[in-house]
This record gives sequence, structure tokens and C-alpha cells, in this order.
Amino acid sequence: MQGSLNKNIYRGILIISFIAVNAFILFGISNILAFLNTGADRSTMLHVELKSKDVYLPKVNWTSLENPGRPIEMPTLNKIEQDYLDAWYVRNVTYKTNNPYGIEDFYTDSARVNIFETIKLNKPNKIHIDATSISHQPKLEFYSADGQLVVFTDKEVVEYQKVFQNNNLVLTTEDTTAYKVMMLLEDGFWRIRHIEKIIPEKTKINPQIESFVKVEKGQIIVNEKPFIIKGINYYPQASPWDMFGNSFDESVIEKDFNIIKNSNLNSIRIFVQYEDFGKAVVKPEKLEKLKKTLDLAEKVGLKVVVTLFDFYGDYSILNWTLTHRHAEQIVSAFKDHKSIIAWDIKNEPDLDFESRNKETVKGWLTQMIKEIKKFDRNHLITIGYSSPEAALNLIDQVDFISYHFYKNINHFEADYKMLKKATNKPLVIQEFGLSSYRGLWNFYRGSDIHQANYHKKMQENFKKESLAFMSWSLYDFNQIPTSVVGRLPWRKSQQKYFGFIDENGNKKPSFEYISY
Amino acid sequence: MKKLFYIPVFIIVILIAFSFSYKVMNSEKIGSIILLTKEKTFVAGNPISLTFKLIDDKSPLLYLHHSYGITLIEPINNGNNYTYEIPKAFSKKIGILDYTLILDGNIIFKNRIDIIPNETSSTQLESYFGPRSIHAGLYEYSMLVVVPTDNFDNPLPNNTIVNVHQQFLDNISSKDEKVENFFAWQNIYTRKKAGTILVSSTCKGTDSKELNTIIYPANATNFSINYTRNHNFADGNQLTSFTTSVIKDEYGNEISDGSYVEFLVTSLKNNAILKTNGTTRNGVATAKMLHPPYPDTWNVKAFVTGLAESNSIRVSYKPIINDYPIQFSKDNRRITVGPLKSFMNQLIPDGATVNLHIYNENKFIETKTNTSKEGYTVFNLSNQYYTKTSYSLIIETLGVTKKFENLQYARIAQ
Repeated sequence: MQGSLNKNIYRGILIISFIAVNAFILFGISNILAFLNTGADRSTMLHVELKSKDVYLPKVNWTSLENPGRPIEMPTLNKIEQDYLDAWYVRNVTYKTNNPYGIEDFYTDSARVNIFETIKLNKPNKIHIDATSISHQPKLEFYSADGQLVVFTDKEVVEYQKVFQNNNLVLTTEDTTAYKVMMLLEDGFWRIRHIEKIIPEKTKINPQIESFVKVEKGQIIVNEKPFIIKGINYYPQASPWDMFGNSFDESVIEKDFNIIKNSNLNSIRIFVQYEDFGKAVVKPEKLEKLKKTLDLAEKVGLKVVVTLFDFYGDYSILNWTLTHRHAEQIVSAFKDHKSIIAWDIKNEPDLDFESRNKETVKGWLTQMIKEIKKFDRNHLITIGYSSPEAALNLIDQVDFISYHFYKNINHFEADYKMLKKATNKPLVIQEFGLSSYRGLWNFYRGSDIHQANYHKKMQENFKKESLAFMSWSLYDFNQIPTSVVGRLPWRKSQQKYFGFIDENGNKKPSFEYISY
Repeated sequence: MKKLFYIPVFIIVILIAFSFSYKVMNSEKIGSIILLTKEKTFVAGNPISLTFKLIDDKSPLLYLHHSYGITLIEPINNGNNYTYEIPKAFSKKIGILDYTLILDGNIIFKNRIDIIPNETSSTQLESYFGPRSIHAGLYEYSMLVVVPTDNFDNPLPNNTIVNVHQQFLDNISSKDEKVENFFAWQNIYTRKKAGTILVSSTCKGTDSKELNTIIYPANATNFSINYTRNHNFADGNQLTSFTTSVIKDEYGNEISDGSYVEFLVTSLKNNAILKTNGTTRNGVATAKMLHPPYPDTWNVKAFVTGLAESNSIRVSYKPIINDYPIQFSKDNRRITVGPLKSFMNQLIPDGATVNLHIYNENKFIETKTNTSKEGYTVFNLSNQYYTKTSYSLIIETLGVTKKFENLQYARIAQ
């Protein structure tokens, strides 16, 4: 009995170990096969993979596609355009880094040596160039019958360059150039075979059209009448710094707009966040929400200053064209909207002067003003500087001067006079206010009464000279995103209590002094 | 009084002088800078240097912006004269070269020179030819694009003459084309005759290599068919060959070898459609079909699908026998058909189909099919399956049918 039991146990162990050994061998073989099947994907030999990331988007306008060779197909034209822009992009990257990575994909054998030779000159002399092209106006000259060769004249290339030697800026230049280009189709890439710089044709200047809003004799004119901005910076109470997010609610916005209108104000300032709106490819649903907001403002009778590029901070020249496309899509969508009074290029860009290089930021702002003017000649342009001193920058480029005033009220008059002396363009105090926060972080010094007194005095100042203002802000907020003022609790707490209406919806004493 | 007249004259002279000097300042002289190099146009590959006379003894950088690249260069100083040698990488490429003198971050002088192709250097030719195969006729063409360049890989200027040669059969011709936008081009039109066109080009004494395009015949046109066979008997054994005439395109070229021709055979006896096919060689396609096993007439037509068709022909097949013997066994259950003899009384080749249709009181029961062997075939009606006492049989082969009504069978014991 005992013997047969043992025998069965041995049998069981033998069978199980046999199965286990087999399973192990099979597992091993399958792993080896799986390993042998990995490695380079053969499809990568053909250039079929889609590069979906947009890295370089200057404005391209084909002026003519007529050519004596063969009618061009739209997909081919798009591919040529893409590869031509990529050729510019890799060349710009190459001259920035002095590393010819990617050049061979977009220049033929004989053409690429010219770029390599230039690198050989620049690299030992520590010269690098930060460059981008802003716009292209190609005209097709010839497309061959077999679809392998194309010649076009890029009649107007706006190029922006910063030239550095030993990391010191030597020159900043913006030029209009023109090129004659021959490209060949090789292994799925359109590659530059010849490129010759030629003299650009004189451009036609677009006739000035009558705009909705204009500046005359130091005044903003709307519907032929002087318009003094009496406004407020607006975020819905429940979604500060996220106005066009998921909690977007038209009824809330309409109610708030009516509160603003009824308190003797005529304008609001709202914010369009660069990333939130989709960067280079603006999301249609965000545009739709912005449109609803602007339509409501028009219905209620408020004018709007739209601040673009909120939370943008890159400014690198190679990526400029991406921001240009962002602005183009938003600005051209609303170029005829009656409620907009001005595009504010960016909120407090002067705060980036130190970290991002003052000249680069100013270059970006200047270029952006030009871009927006290209797409919208109806509305004004301003820049919301963080201080009266910063507002002296680019004073000739903007239509009116906007600055933020959070200093001691005693400085107000001197600052205003300083700017008035510097320019006769209209001035708008685009942000000002005082927090009514009272707590540990400010030793219980602030209060609603303090705030009311501050606004009372400010309004007296404004009334004296009929000044344009936009206060900060309508509501106290429960939540302040970290990206706005950072993590420090004393900053966050302050920022919560700038409103004229508290978190429970009650008007604070300052509300009496919301306008003059 | 006369003196008063001089005042306006003096003023006008001064104004004119100012307007000229303003112009000069813009291009040649700003402040204390004088461009000593007078040439504005340079030939690619030749050394280029720009010399300025500067009053200040600071040496400015020269910024260069050219077709392919951007760089900064430093001067060689000789007293007040500052000479900038344009690097070879820049001086050998054609195009506008913009230059800017920079001193302490300020632009103090800006101008441009033009670098033109070096036409005295040896010429290189790059030719692109395509599509490389076309059809005979009048409308199709291959395009030859020739890009002549100088020794520094710069395209030659507009209006440079490129001589394009082409050869087809005994015909050699050439024509001048002018360069425009880097290249000269010519459409090489197809001919009515199939063959190969060779092209080449010459520019400034440099000859290109030979390129060719092949002219393939155009589409097939209608054709005729014929047949050949060993005999005209319906023996189900021999093959009939169908052959097309030489199929040509509309210009008389034999269509390309390997073109697919399909033959449709319609039997007039039972309207069945049979199909066979062949591919062309030297314009002729051949296909074969087995003779029918019974007298029949065929209607035959051939097609080059979608393009061309032939005439219809009729082919008839005669019966090989009129009668054959049948023997029944005693119990009628073993039926021997044969000997089947053919048109010369030879036993027919093995494999002739013999059908036996079995009926019971006008009700169809089964068809048995056998093939002949050495002239005979045998059917067995098993008593396991055929249990009735009377069957009618119909035997058919080679188009001859024989009937046997109500054959009697012994009752099978159950």
C-alpha cells in the first residue's frame, strides 16, 4: 500500500517536472524568437512615417501655380512646401548650433557642402546665428513632367536674425530677401538642389482701411466718439485663470457682465492662455467659447481688451512662427468683432526681460505687433506692462500705452506725468488694486476699509483728469493656481482678496468706488 | 538788383548738391566710411575683397548674408584702409551678397554685391529625363530638363544656349533651348512607331551623357482569328488551335509581347460558354481547346479585354460513329457497351464518356457515367440497389443515344 502510494508520488513528480521542463523550453524558444523579431522596423527605410509635430510655421502664400511644365497636384505642393520649410528650419538650427544634423535630408549632395563650409567658418570663430523666417511668398516657376523637379521663386522672405560671436550679440537684423530655388525629389524628400539669393521685388502696401477703433490726438476713438476706458479685469469667480475651461458658463458670464455694466463701467479685460488655446493649432472649441464671451460683451454693451499669450514664456527665435500662427488664428477669427477694442499682446512681458533676454522679448513683441496688424487692421494694439517705467519700451509700436500700477498711491501722479511727457498716445492704467486680505501673513494690516479708501482715492485721481483705468478685479477668488503667483502662501492669500465682491457674492465697501 | 538774382540760383545749387550727397551717403558713404572697392558685380570663384576707408581706427566686423549662409568676418588693417576678404565658401556661390559693417552693435554701413556665374570655367551638365517610357502616337512626351552649371556648381544665367539632340531610327535632329530659371527644357514627343529615342545635350562645349525613353506600342486594335485542327470529328480527344492575326495598334506597331488575349467559345448545341486564353508573341496569340465529345458547332470570338475584339468564326465537329453494339447479361444486370469504333473503324482512344440514364416507370432514378477502355465500357446494376422488376435504360455516348424500354428483372427475395 505504502509502496504504491510512493510510486504514484514519484510518477506525479516525474510528469509535472516533465511538463515544467517542456514549458520552460517553449518559453525560452519563444523569447528567443521574439527577440530576433525586434530591431529596426523595416518600414523606417521608406520615409512613410508621419511627422505630425509642427516645429516651424512661417506664413506661406503661393502667389501663382501657373507653370509651363505640368499642373501641380495639391498633395505634392503641400509636400514641397513642408520640405522647403523644413530645409529652412534645419538650416536655422544648424547655424544656431553649428551642428549639421538633418541637413542631408533637405539638401542634395552638392548643395549641402555649401552649408558645411559655412559651419567650418563659423564654428572656429564662435559665431552662431539665431534666425527664423517670418513669411514666404513662393511663386511656382516649373514642375517637371515626371514630377521629380520643381523650381520656384520665393519672392519675399522676411528673415529675422541675431548674430552672436563668443556668445555676445553682434547684430540684430530683419531683412526682406528673395530666393530662386530648385528642388529635387530624392528618396521621398524634396531636397534643395540650388538656391540663389536675388533682389526682392518691391512690395505693394495694402491700402489703409477705415478701422472700427482708432487713436486720434491722444484719444481712443470708437464710433467717431472719444472713448475713455473705464474697465475691470475679469475672471469668473469660480474659474479664475481658467475662463475658457470646462466650467465655462455663459449664464454666469452674462450675469457678471451685467453687474459690470450696471456699475458704470464700459470695458473688461480678459485673458487668452497660449497653451490652453492649443498653441500653434488653436482648438476650435476654445475659439467658440471666446466668441460667445465676446458676443455677450457686445450684447451687454461692454468693450473688451483681449490679452493674448498668457502664460507664454519661451520667446526663442526658432519657435516664433508657432506663436505667429497662434495669433493669426485668434486674431483673424475676430478681426471684425465689434466688441473688441484692443489686442493686448502679452501680460507683463517686462517680467521676462531678465530671464529671457530683454532684446529677444522686445524683438518678439515687435514682430508680433507686425503679425497681428497683418491680420487685423480694425483693432488697436497695446502691451500690458507691469510698471509705468516698463511702459516706456516699444512706445512707438503700440497704439496706446498700458501699464499696471501696484505701487504706493502717492507715486501715482508722478508716474502718470512721466509717461504723459514721454508720449502723446493714450494711457491706460490697465491693472491696479489692493488686496483686502487680513491675516497672519500681513500681520492683520489689510481690511475692506483700507481697500475701499484706496479705490476711493484712485477714482478721485482718475476723475480729475478723466483717465482710463481697468481695476483688478471683480471677484475675490477661493483658489489661485500656483502658476500665477507661485506657491508661497503669503502671496497666494494676498491674491485672493483683490475683488470688489467677496467670495460669498456680497459687495465689499470698495464696490462703491468701482468707477467714477 | 542783379545780385538778387544770384541768391535763388545759389540756393537751388546747394539743394541739388545736398540731394546728391544724401544719395551717396546712403549707399557709398556714411559718416566717415568710404567704400574703396568700386565693383558691384563679381564672378563666382574669383577672390572678392571689399576695402573701406575708415577715419576711426576701430575695426568693424563685416556681416555677410548670402544664398547659403551667414557669417562674420574681420578686416585686415592697412592704415585707414580696412580690407575684408570674402571667404571662398561665399565668393564661389552666385546670388546677392548683402553685407553690413557693424561697429559696437550698430550698423554703420550696408550694401550688397552681386556674384554672377563663372562662364569661363568648365561647364557641367545635369540632365533629368522622364517619364522614361511612353506610348506611340501623337500626344505623349518625355521631358528633358538640363541644368548647366559652372565649375562651382552655380546654374548658368538665363538665355544660355543649350543644344538638345535627339535620335530616332534614321532621324537625328537638334534644337537650341535657352536657360531660364536655372534650366533649359524640351518636351521630346513620342512617334507613331515604337522604339527608343535617345537624347543628349550640349552646352558651351560640354556634352551630356546619353539618355533614352522607350516608345511602347499603343493600344491594340481589332483583329481576326482563325483555327487549325487535326480532323473535324467530335472525338473529345484532339485539340483545336485558335490563332489571332498579328494584332497591331492604330499606328501599325505590333502590340507588346505578352498582351493577354481571351477566346470565348459558345456551343450552339447547349449555349455553354467555354473560355481559353493566350498571350501574344510578335503580335500573335494562340490558344487551344479540346474537341467536343459529341457533334457540335462552336461560335468563337477573341478579345483583348476592354480594348479590341476579333471577328466571330464558326467551327463544326462531325460525329465519329453512327451506332455501336450493346450486350445485356442474362439477368440484364450487366450491360456491356462496345466495341466503340471511330471514323476509320479504329477503337476509339480510351476515355470516351458513356452515360447510362436509369428510369423506373418513367421516373428518373440515376445517371451512371463511365469512360471507355480499349473501346468498351461495362455497367453493373446491383440487385442490392435496383430491386424493382422493370427498368428503362438510355445509353448515350459520342452523340449517339440508344433506348431500352421496360427491361424485366427477376424479383429479389426479401
